[in-house]
Amino acid sequence: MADDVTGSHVTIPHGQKSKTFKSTSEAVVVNTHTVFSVVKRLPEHIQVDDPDVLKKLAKKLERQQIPRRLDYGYKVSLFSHLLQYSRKAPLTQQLSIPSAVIHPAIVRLGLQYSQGIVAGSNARSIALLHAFKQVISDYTTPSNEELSRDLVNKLKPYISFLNQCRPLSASMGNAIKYIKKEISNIPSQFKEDDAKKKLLNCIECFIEEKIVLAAKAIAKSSIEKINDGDVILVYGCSSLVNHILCEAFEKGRKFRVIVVDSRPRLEGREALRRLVQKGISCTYVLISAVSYILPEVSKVFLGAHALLANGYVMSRVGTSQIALVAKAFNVPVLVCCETYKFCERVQTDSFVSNELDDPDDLIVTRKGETQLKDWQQVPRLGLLNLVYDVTPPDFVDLVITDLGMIPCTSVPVVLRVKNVDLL
Amino acid sequence: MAAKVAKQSRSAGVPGRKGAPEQEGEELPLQAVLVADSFNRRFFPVTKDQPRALLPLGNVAMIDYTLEFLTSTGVQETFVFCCWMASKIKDHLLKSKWCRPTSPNTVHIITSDLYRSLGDVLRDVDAKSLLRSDFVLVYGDVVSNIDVSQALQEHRHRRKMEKNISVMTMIFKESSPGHRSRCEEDDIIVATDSRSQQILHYQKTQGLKKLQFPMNIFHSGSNEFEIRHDLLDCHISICSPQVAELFTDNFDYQTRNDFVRGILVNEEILGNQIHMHVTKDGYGARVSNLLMYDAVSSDLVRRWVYPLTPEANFTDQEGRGCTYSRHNVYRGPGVTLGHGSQMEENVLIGSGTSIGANCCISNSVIGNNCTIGDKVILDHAYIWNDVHISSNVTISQTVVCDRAEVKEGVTLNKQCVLAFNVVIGPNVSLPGGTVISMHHPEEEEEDDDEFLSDDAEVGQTKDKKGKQKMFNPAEVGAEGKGYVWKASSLDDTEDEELTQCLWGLVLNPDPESDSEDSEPEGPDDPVIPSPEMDDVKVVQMEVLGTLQRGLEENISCDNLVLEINSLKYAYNVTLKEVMQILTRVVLEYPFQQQGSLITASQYVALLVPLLKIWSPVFKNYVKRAQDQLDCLSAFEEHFLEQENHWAAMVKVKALTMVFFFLLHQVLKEMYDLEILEEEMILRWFSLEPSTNQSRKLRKNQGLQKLIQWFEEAEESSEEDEE
Repeated sequence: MADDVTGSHVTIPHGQKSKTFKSTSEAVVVNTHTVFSVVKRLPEHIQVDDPDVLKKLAKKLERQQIPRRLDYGYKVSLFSHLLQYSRKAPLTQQLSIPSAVIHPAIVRLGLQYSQGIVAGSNARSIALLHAFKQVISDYTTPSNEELSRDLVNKLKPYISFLNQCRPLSASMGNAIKYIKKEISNIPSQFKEDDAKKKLLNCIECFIEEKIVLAAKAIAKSSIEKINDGDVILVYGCSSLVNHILCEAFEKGRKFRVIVVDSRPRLEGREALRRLVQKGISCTYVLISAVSYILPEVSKVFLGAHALLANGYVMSRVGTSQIALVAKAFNVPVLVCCETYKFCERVQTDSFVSNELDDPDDLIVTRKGETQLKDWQQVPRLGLLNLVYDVTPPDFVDLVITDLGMIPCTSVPVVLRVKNVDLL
Repeated sequence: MAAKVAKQSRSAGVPGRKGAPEQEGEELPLQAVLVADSFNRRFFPVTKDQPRALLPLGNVAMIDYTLEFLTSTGVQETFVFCCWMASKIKDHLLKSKWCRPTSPNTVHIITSDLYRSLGDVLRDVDAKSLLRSDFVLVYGDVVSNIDVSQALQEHRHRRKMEKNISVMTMIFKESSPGHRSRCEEDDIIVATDSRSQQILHYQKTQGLKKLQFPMNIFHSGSNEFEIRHDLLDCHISICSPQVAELFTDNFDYQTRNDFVRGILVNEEILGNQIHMHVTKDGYGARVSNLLMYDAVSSDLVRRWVYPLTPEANFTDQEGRGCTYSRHNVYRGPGVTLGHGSQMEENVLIGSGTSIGANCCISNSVIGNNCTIGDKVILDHAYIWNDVHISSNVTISQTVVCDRAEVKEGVTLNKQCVLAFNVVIGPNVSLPGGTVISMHHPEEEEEDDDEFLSDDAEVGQTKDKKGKQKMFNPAEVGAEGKGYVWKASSLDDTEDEELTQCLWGLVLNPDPESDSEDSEPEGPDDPVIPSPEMDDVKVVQMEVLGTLQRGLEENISCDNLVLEINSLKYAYNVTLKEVMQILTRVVLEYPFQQQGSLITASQYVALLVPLLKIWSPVFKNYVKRAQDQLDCLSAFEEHFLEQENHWAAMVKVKALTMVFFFLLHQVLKEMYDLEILEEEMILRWFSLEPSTNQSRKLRKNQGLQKLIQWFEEAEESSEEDEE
């Protein structure tokens, strides 16, 4: 039925798409609501191999007085259009102190992003919102300016700084969009204090409603899907999935969890630590053992980085592989995702728009030997440390959101309803 | 020495014994000493029928794990020392693969009934000069997969660099506190020099909350130290031949602990050092009690000791191979499993065992040829060979030894032990911690009081008395056979010790009081190495004895001082403690003589002449201002303790008497000290009162008057000076 809804209401006219977009770029950004005459620009961070775009970006950053992060290492050919950073050279090193342009809270946040201290799309969004709260409460409107215009302009360099530290996640993009809208919605006759109070309140509301309460709602409906005796497979460390499992355990459901993990981040260990601390019986395997462990699994719960408009699930790299194997073993795959992570982008593969992490993370030392120590010296050797992949909707049986349980294909409907809300 | 040496030097490759020792470059075969006796009674009612080294762990005798570990780490010649039930161990080893001609590790079995400790064994090693080079020293109950070759290299390197300084390298495994394989009673704290890995201090923590380190370890050469509590002693050590000699030289060394302590304390004199090697990824643990047995068994089943896994059949016995399947379930050949029975996880079932329907088994090890009925629930159960378990039985965390029988409807709660041949049931529930054996506990005590070792020859006289005594059906069930070793009412300390021994209970009876005992020494006198907790009490008894004798035999005070001084050094107590003890002894002396029900006036009448007699002794110890303060606080403490006997008023009177007396004594001797003495009393008085009672004491009128008098006296003396 939901498919039906999608089919009838959201139509992406194929002919128009092929006309308006450059044939070289596979990524399409579609604004599903209103008319399709507005075509969004491709973000710079997926056109690194185009010198024109780079020049433009450099100029923009110079104007905003933001340092540019430099490319690092030899890249695998298919991914030369993406930026590759090194964690060892953080952006903040190039900043002068005290920085006139960037608020210290933002500098700190940027460093935390780039070093991977704050990771995971929920954590990143919450950290961003808190940093913005700090910025807003420290803000004073210049005498001949209007708050709603000046503040938005002020935030722009901050956002491009954060984007330089680490490409923004879809959830952060949505949060920023929300804040900008709220700022521009402030009537000009508002006093500055009142306006600031209102904005801070709005941010609080966003965190509470879209993240905290959403997680609760999702947990509530997911628990119905967890039965006694279930063996649940989770991948990596999703704060939402952990929350669901802990809630279900507290409700007295008897189940076992298999935590699947992958190098280089080994986030699963954190998930394992949290679950075991609660007293949930867990098994820990690496992703290479997933086909061995799947026969005993009864459900797969996955977190998501973003849900794309064509129903694809963008998530930590490895997720699609797990969904594929689960499909092959006929095990239901449930994706848990808050609606604020829904995104209007359309993507059918993981190559076009993705993020490259520090390739040095892949280097390991075993028994005092470091195999890849001098990889930079080997001329044709590139290390690929992809961050995300996309899972086709065929492999996902259900998406559990704060609006209830929907199939993947209903994402455009949710987006449309949300946009109506926003208006 | 009726030691009987049985050498099984079957392999032709055993080199002659007379070869030149330790020639550079020549690689001598690595030797090991395996002590197949624990020299204690931790497993007692069980080890009465079978030595500890032969108890099955994952259906394989423990000594086989140790020998496999030694062989895989490159040991080529092993001396197995047996004592208790030596013939059984010998038989086992002769049948095993270690004594086949193809074995890379030549095993020599040496038995003697006269070994009483590890010390005896090593002294015998030295007497027979069995060892030519560095050797590995392990017990027969160590389960490990650590590769010691690196540690051995380090050890040899150290010995080459500094000739014969390092005598021993102890092997530790890194494991954080609270880890399952860490036995709480064996928790240790180690201080090392982080560069050279030399051990500076080694202590068992035994649940203490405060620990003390001798100051001198921080004064020695290096400037980097580590104090580590995250280590597990694997009880594997690489020793140089000197170790055996040192044991011979010091006939009082009984255990390795004695040895380590001796070496560390005498480091400066003898110049011997102990080093350590910390491994991160290996596994090593000693099965020192049943709790450890539980932990090591489950680690084994969970494959932490890889490659020593149950299905590996490393002992190479026929018909012992088993299959390994999901969730660590191992099944031997010929296992039958009834309909609806579940083996949840971490289960090992030996060959020929049959299990009935609707059973639920988890985290358990079941031996060979057992029969288990229907609807049996086993969790953390360790069931050895030829055991019969009827239907509707629930067993959790329990050891059931060979040929035991559990009849219908029996529930065995946590930490029970059924020793060999015991029959239980039907329809009884054993409370947690019950130990049942076919041997009567009393028979044990009668025969075996003087020995503290497994190896007492008591087994021969068995059963005669036992059979006359009736089994108690309330305890073991209507058809049961066996005696309860530990009743629920524990008044006998021996028994308490026993249960503690078996499961190595976490409940250390009073760790609180232990830690408090160590408190008074406080952090302000850190130069002295921490004395044993009980030493203070021992010294007190000794001092009392000395004074008593002094009084009876009219020994001069100088000699008394001499004796007390020697006590101080013998027990290594501080001067401060000596003084406190002395004060306490003297003040309690009247009670000792007359019983505790004497009145205050009687007390004072008795005390004053005593003080007069012993004043030179006091003067000898009370010299500095700090001493006087300590002395006063000891007085105060004593009188507060006596609160129950007298009203405060009388007490203060007695106290005043003592003060006057002391003042008087000191006055006579040294005028200079007089003012100091007053000052000290005033200072003591002005000190913050620590308890309510002492506050009350200080508010007392009599005392106030005294203080006032002192103050006035002081003022007047100051005026005089002006």
